[in-house]
Amino acid sequence: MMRWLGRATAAAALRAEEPRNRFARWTARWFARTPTVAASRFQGDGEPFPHHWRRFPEPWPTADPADPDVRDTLAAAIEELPATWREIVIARDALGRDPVDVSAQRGLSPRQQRAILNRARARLRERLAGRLVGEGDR
Amino acid sequence: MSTAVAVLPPPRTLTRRLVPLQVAVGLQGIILWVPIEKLFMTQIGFTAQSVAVMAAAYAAVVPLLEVPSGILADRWSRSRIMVCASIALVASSLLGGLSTNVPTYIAAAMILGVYFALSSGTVDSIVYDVVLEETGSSDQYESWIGRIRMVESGAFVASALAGGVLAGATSARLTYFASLPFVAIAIVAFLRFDEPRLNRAAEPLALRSHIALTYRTMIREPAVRQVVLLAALVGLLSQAVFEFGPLWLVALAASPALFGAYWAALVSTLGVGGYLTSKLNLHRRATVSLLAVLAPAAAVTLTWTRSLAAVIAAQTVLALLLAIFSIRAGKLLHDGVPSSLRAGVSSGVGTFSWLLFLPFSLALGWFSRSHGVRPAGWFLTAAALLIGLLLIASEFRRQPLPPATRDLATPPDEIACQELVELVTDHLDGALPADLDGMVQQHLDGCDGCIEYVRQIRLTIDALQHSDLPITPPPEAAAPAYPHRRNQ
Repeated sequence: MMRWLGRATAAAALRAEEPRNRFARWTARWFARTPTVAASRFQGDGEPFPHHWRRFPEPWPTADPADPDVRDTLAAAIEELPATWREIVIARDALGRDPVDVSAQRGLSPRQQRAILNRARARLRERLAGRLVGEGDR
Repeated sequence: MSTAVAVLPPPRTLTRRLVPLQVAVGLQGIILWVPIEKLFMTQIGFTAQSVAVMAAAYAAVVPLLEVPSGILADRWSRSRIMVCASIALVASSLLGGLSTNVPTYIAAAMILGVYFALSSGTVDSIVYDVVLEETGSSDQYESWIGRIRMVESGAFVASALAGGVLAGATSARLTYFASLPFVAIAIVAFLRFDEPRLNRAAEPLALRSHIALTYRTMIREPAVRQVVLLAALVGLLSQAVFEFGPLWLVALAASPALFGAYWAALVSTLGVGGYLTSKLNLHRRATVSLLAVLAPAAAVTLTWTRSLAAVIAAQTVLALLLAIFSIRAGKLLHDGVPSSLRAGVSSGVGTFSWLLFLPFSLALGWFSRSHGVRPAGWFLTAAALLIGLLLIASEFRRQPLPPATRDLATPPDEIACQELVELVTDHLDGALPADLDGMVQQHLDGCDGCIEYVRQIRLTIDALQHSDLPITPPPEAAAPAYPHRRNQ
């Protein structure tokens, strides 16, 4: 309950941030960067090792691609990705296409293509970790 | 990171995807009745005092509406939230247009509060997530949200002028109904928008301690306290100018078309203020002092002049200064508050501003009932004077403002785990500059957590490569061939 309330307050706080009057907004909202891996997995500024793992990722027993469990988890996780992320992670990692081609085709810079791939891979890893060792990232 | 960020054209999908959103936001900004609202309200029996009651009722309700709409936006489709907001806008315009008395119109204003609460920040968060989905980072968010705000303020200005002319040619009441088709088309555009899958869900907070910490940050540190008060007062005065300013024109019997031109000038200050802030050197004490004196001078003009031109000029200058101050106060707050508390503090400022506005509005309304609208300008002058003093004070004590903690601690010779996870793909692709790559390697030599993380990323890639996933390959052939390749 407290957790849910916490989320609700955080969301509401984000929205009330915008300065405005009854008719017009003033400025755009400021957003903190979205990290690839949830910030709660790392120690905060007041802790002994800021920005280092709060708890190391739990080692995986295996991640056998032939295992139907791994396969289904992966398929479901891919399905949940935003379309662009899905296309890039499939092209790069499942089909092994050339990064230069993949970027050019989507009209992305190589840097953007890698940033998307990094986030997509991190999502898939997170889902597999949840399945294999019950890691609760979020 | 340390590599230079080249200015690149946005990816095609991003541009294409944001078109319906821009159309929708533009159409939603065409609210023709806004410039002549006070004229119409006077026609159906409002006085300065009942205007104040309406504004205060609005100020009391809006912060309450923010919470449920925040929860909704977190859990439900955001385009549909915008559709609901548009429906509230339609309902408010319809009820307002049909109003023949004060209570009905106040009800319409409350419904407008629902529109604002639902739409508040929703577009911003949609744009943020679309940019993140299409480019992998939020670097281009600012420029896109800037573009969308431009479209919106263009619509505000155009509809202010058109609304004034329409009201002059026909009647003030008609502008309420004439706004409806635009909102209806906006609904269609929102429904056609391809909503992001990512939801910029705020990380859950440990509620009690977070609120306590936010509160302490706002109250304890004198420098922060001062900026919080400044920002809240700027919000209050701006609200007052937009809410009560048109009453000066009503008192001087301005024509509806003039209301339109006046409102267009007022809303354009929001955009012009942003531009000027980037051009003015607000670090110079002389500049700040001049602007700080100019605000009460503009406000005091309203207490004595009987000239329409002077009233409009004074209010426009005041609104422009407030737009600049608001951005400045936001920057000071940004610099003085740690990033984890910024959202909470800004939202505290917003609520504080509404709370201050409530008694301010009622007192102004009560005063202008017995003394007339013009002397009520002293209320605005007092607020502007206080803002000026706070602004000068905060500029002259800029040094002691506590430094905000850095977003990521980055000693030049090593990186933290939180930075490493952002660089994994660049590292595996061999795309990092040598020095940064060396740091990644060095970190990986000594950190068991990151070794495991990278191992798991590799296992994930392996699993993707070797599983016969039921995936359809992206339509390689269908994409247009590129004549040149970008070098990596």
